[in-house]
Amino acid sequence: MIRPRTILQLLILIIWSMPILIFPQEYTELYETMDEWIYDKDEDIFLEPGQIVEWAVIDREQSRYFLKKYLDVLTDMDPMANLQIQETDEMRVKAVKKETGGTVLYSVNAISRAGALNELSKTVLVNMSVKDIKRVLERKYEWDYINNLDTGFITGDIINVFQERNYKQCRDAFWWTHRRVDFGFFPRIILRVTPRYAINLEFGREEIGYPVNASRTLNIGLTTEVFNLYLTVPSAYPGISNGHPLDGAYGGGLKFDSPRFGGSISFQDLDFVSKGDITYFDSEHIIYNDYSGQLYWSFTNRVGKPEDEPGFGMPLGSLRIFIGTTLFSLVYGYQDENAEFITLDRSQKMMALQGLLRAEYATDMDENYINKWRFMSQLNLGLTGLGSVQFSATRSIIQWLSVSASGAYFWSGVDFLDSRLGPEETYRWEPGWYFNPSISIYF
Amino acid sequence: MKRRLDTIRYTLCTCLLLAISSQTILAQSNTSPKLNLDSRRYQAWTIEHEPYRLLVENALDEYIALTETNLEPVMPGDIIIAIRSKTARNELFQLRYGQSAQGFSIIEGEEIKWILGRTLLLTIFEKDKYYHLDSAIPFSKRAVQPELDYLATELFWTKTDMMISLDRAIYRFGNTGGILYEWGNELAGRPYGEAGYMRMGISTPVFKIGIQIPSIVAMTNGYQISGTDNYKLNGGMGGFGAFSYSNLYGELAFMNNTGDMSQDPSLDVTGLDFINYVDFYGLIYLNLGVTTTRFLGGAFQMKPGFTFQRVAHRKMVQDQVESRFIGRDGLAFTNDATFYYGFFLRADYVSRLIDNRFPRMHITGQISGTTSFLAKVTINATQALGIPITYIHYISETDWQTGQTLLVGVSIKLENPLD
Repeated sequence: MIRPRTILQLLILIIWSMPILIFPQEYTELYETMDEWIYDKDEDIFLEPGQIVEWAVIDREQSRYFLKKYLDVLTDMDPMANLQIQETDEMRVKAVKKETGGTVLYSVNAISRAGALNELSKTVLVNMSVKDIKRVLERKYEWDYINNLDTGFITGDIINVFQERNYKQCRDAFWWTHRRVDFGFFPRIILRVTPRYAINLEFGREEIGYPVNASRTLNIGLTTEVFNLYLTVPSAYPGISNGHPLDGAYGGGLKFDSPRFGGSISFQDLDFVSKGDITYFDSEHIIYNDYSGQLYWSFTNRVGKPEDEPGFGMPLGSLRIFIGTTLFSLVYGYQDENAEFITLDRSQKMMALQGLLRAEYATDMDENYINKWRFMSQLNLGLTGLGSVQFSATRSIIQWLSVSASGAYFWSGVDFLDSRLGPEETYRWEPGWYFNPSISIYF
Repeated sequence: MKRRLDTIRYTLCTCLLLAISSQTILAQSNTSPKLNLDSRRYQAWTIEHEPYRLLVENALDEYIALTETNLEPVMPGDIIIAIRSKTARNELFQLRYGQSAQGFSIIEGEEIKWILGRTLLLTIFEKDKYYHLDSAIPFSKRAVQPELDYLATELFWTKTDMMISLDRAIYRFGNTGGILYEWGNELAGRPYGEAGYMRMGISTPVFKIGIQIPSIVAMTNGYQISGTDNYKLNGGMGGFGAFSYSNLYGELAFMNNTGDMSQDPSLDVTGLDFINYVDFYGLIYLNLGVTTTRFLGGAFQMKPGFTFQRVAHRKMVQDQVESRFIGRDGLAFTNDATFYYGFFLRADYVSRLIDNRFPRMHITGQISGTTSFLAKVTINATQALGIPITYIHYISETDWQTGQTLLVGVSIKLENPLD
C-alpha cells in the first residue's frame, strides 16, 4: 500500500520539475565534436564574400565571462603561459556561415585598453566547453558592427563610387523643417503641428521657377512626409526687383516628394473666387500661370569633407540633384472697367514645356538639428528660349536664427498677342530679376 | 496527533509549492508579444529607406543563421515596422515585419538588440533622419486585417505585379513605384468613358501623378438605360495628382482645351457646338474601416469627404475653342463654367478573402456631390480574373450628363511566378 506521504513527495517532485520539463534549457547540439564548432582555417582558405560574419561584443559581462573561461582553460593547460589577454579586453568575434547550415567560430580577438589586438588560441578554444563557444556564437547579447563597410550607414552613406546617401536630411531642410517652427520673414513659415503634419505658408512659386516676389502668390497648405496640399491666394511680397512678376489668382496645388520621384500639379483661375478684389501688378497687362505640372527624378550624394580633415573644401553635407520637366501655361489679358479679366493670349504649347535642373545642398545637421548652410539653385530651360535661373542661400547664425537670400533672373521675355495694339501686334513681357534677403527664427 | 500535524504540514507545503510552481510557469508563459499598442504611448513607422531596410533584412538573416530561432526571414513584399516608446531613449520597443493580410512576426525586448546590433538599432531609432512613413497598424485592435488591407491597397495601388482592368492598369517596378493608366475617374463618379479623359502617369503606394488626355478609347462597354446619348463630357489636356497617406486621401486634377481639339474623339458624339469638360476637380476624404465577423464577414470601409469640380462650357468656332454661355436648351449660363461642390461618401464592402489574397465579392456604393450615385459589384472568379459591373445614376440632369448607365469591365491581376 502506498502511503499518503509518498504520494505527496512524488507530487512535489513532479510539480518542481514541471518548469524544467516544459521549458528544457539544454541546447540542441549541431555538431558532434568540439573541432566542428571551430573553423579549421587551413581546411578552406577561400571563403566566399558574405560567409564571414564579424562583430564586436558590447556586452561587457559577456566578454568578461568568456575571456575568464578562456584564461582558466589556458592556465590549466599551461600554468606558465604568458597572459597577454585580460578579462577586461574588448572582444571581437568572427564566425563562418556554413553552406550546409549552421555557423562555426572562425576566430576570437581580444583588444586591450592599449589597443593591442591578440587572437585567442584555437588550441585553447577547442578545450573550452561547447556551451561557452555556443554562447558566443549565438550572439544573444549586445553587439555592434566593426568595420566601415558595416557602419558607413551611420551618416546615411552608401559606400559605392557615387557616394550615394540617405536623402532625408537634405530633403527635410528644404521640404519643411527639422524644427517645430521655422518662421521666416517672410518667404516661408512652417509650423510642424505634429511630427507628421505641418502647416506651411510660402510666397512665390519656387518649383516652377518664380520664387518669392517673382510671383504674386501665397501658398497656404498642409505638408506631410510625402505630400504638400495647398491653396493659392493672390498676394504680394516686397523685395528688390526689376521686372514684371507673375500675377496671382486663387487656386490650389499638390506637391509630392519621395527619395527618387516627385512632382507637382497646380492651377489658378481668376474666375475661381472673386475677380474684383485682386490687385494686379499692372491691370493693363496681366500675366498669370493657370496650370502647371512637374515631374522629376532625384538622387542624393555625399559632398564635402569632415571638419577635422585638413585642407579647404565644402563642409560635409548632402547634395540632392533633381532632373525633370515642367509643363506650365501662361495667360495674358487685362482688367476691363467692370473688373472682368479679358483673355488676350496664351503661351504656346512648346513654350510651356521646360527642362528642370535643380540642386539642393545642406550641411549635416549638428546636435541641435540645424543645418549650418543650405544652398539651392534651379535652372528652368525652355525649348523656345524662355528660361530662368534661381538660387537661395541660408546660413544659421545661432541655434534659433538664420539669414538667407534668394533671387531669380529671367534671361528672356515672352511675346503675347495683344489685339488692343492692332492685329498681330504683341506685348513683350519681361519678367526681369528679383532679389530677396530675409531672416528666420527657429524653435 | 503527531501524524495529523505531519499531514497538515505536508498539505501546506504542497499547496505552497504548487502555488510557487504555477506562478513560475505562468510567468514564463506570459511572454507573448504585445499586439495592440496604445498610440498615446508608442510611435510606429515603416522603414522605407531601402538601404536601411536591406540592413535589417541582413541582420535578421544573420541572426537566423547564428541562432536556433523560429523567426522567419523578411520577404521582399513585407513591410518592416519599427516601434518606439515615447518615454524610452535609444531603444526600440518592437520590430514587426510581414504583411497585414498574413500577419506580422514580432520581435521585442532584448532580442532586438541581439538582432540589429547597436549602431543599426540607433540608426533605425532616429526615424527623422531617413525616409519613413508613420504606421497605424500596431494600434489597430486586430493584428491581422486582410480585408481592410485589401480595401486600403487596391483602390490606390496594387499588391500584384501587374493589374490590368478596363478602367485602370498598374505595372509595378518593385514595391515602390510603377506606371499607371486610368480610363475615367470612378471616385469622381464617372468611370470608363463617362469622364471624357484618360490618365497616364507614375504611381507609388502613397501618391500618383501624371497627365490627363482626351479619351482615345472609343469602345462601348455598357448600356445607357435612360438619358440622351450625346450628352457626354469631352476631354482635354491637363494633369492630375493624388495621395493616400495614413487615413487621408486627396486628389486634384485640372484640364484645359484651348487649341486644336481634333484629337478628342468624343467631339464626334457631342458635336462642336456644345463642348463641356471638367476643367478642375478636387476630392478629399477620410478612410474609416471596420472588420466584421457577425454580419456577412469581411470588411466595411466608409469614406466621408468633400468634392468639387468645375465644368467648362466651350464651342468650336473656326477651329478655335471659345467660351460658350448658351446651353443646349437655348437658356443662358451665368458664366462659361459651372461649379459644383458637395459631400462625398463612399462605402465599400469586401467578403472574406480567399487564401488571404482576394475576395469573392466587392460591393461599392458612392455619392459624388451632386454629380452621381454609383453602385458597383465586382465578382472575382479567381485572383487573376474579376468582372466589375457598375451602375451610374446622374443626380443632376445637364447638357453633359443624363439618365442612368450600366457599364461592364474586366480586371486581370498577374503575379510574377519567380516571386
